[in-house]
Amino acid sequence: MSVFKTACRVLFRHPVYLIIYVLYLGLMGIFVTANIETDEVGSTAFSAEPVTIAIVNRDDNAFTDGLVNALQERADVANDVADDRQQLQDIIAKGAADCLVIIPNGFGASFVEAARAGDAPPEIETAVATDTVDGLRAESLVNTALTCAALELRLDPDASVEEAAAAARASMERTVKAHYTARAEEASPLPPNYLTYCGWIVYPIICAFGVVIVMMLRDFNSGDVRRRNLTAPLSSLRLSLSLAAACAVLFGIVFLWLFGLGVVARAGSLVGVDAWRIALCGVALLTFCLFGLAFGFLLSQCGIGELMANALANIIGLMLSFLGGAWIDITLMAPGLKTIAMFTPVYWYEEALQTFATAPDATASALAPACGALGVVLLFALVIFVAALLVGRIRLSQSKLPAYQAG
Amino acid sequence: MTIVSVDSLVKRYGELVALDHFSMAIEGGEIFGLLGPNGSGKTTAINCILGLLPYDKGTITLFGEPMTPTSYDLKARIGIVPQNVAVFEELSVRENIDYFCSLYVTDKSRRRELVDEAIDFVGLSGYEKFRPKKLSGGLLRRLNIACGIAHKPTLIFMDEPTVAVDPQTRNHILEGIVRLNHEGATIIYTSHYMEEVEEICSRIMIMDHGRSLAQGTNTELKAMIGMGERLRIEVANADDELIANVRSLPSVISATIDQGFLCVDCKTGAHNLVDVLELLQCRGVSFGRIYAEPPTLNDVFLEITGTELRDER
Repeated sequence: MSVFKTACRVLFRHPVYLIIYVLYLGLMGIFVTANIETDEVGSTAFSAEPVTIAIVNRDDNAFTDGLVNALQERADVANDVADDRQQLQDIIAKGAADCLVIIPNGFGASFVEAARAGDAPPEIETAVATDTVDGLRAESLVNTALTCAALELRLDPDASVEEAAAAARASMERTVKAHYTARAEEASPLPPNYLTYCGWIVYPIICAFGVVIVMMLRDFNSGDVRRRNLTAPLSSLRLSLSLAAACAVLFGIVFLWLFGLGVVARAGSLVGVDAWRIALCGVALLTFCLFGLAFGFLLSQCGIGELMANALANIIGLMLSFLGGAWIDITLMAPGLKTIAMFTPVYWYEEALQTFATAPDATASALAPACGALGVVLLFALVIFVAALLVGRIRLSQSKLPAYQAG
Repeated sequence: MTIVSVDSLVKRYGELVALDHFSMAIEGGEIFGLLGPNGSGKTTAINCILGLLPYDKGTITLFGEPMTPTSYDLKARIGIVPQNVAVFEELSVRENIDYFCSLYVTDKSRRRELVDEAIDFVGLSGYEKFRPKKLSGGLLRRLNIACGIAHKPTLIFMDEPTVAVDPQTRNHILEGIVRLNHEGATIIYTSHYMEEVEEICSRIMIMDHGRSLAQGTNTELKAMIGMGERLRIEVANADDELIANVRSLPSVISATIDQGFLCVDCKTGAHNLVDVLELLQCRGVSFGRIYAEPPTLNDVFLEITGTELRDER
């Protein structure tokens, strides 16, 4: 049984970590990004979500009838609500409506009279749902209708109630026109749910490599097993290459599963997307996996145990994921945090992904920033790898154990 | 034929001289005991011999050839049984032995035979599929030995292979070592259990401070020290005056009272016991059981290396 086979055997004797950190967290990435909406590229059509208003009209008046009609044109109005204390409470509590409006008896006449005289009109009784912004939007709609009606009555005190109501409805028709031009270079042909998934999997990558490599190399690095290996007629180079090959197997498993899962699960969203963009996302992921590999190697050289490896991999994985903007848009962070984020490989990985997503074409000039960003990720991997070698050497010199020597 | 030859080996760790012109020669077919207190340089010497540690001066030859880290032909003839159990937690007994054997033997069918033989040799039949954490301390020690000898080495380094095992397992291991030796293996054995070394080693070296202090057969080593025998005489009434009288005898090195026994260490001589008994009779001291023991290897070790505690600063 060769060194490579033994290392692979050791690797697969810890299936729980592969299942949790690679399989399960990869699937979690798919699930948590499933509901991120995929906008059609170039779409300029916007529409407001309708709100629901429940109205209890205790006032038999032309003005209040006009108010109800005006609201019906802009919202889903339920005016067959039973005027019962318990049921009125339930309407908002159970989410049957976003806003409850109670028009008291005599409200219409008082409102018209006050508006014509220029006095402050009486207030209407409303209750809104507080769990979404829709309650506030519905209340705003009611207030807008009343304000418009009050203005019309104040401007033309001789107008009838019906005329004032019609004028108010006409005022509400007026909308603010917004003009914008979509900048072609900022449009992302890669669906946001796929991009978010690519960011999410930073965490499983760090955890998987951090823990599994420690478990795989733990016994190989222990003093007397190392002594036995070095006493055997086997060159240190061959031994190291065999262990590196076993790490490459882990690398392949992690990369292929996470990349393949993303492409397969998001196949529907990726239809029509340039193949080179998806391939380059794969290259970015591959590069980040190299960082994960170096990180795992560093932990293994520190001589830590299973528990510590799990703790460190999770803590560092969480920190890097948050700081690098994998889970939260980096533009939402404080300026100081953004500066710190630039010293994490995840930031540069995200930068590369964004470039691949928004590059107008696959030319060298368009992709150069992403190549630079991936170069920074590779540098991080190299620095961590060198640090791991250094830590290993220091530990060996302190323990006076033989080192794996070249030749 | 000289299997291991070490000449004037010097190894320094910074200011610390771990091996100070250390020399050793081991003939084929020997069980060579290497004794020394903690920190005396035993493990450093073995690591240098195995090509695991570079050294500052001196020469090492194994089987007549210089030993270097890339002497793979020489390494193929060596087996090592380290002090700590050095196996993979994730592999079964058979897989562990197979792995370490595969570092030496690439042919699968030959390896299968060797692994079977090693399992039989150490008495691990029936435990082949067990993982190490399911094994008792004694079985783990046997697995540790099996991993080191499965490829049938002709030179075996055993570093305290019987630490923390019960007497039955210790006997089994010691018998196995003797059997390996009878099958042709030369064995370098380090231990802190003097009676083990005394029992199985054909030659013994005592080292301290990185130097060889004494070497020879068990009898030769005992002859090197001044002590001839230790007398233990059960006495009914002993006082300080009696002790002083015993100490004044010309052949006595020391005399003490321990739990009703007069313990007397004597120099080499023919009439030690008679002299002491005559003194007791003259003083009218009645005595019961009498024991006379020759010096042990432990006495030799303590006399040569001193009695001060080690592992202390």
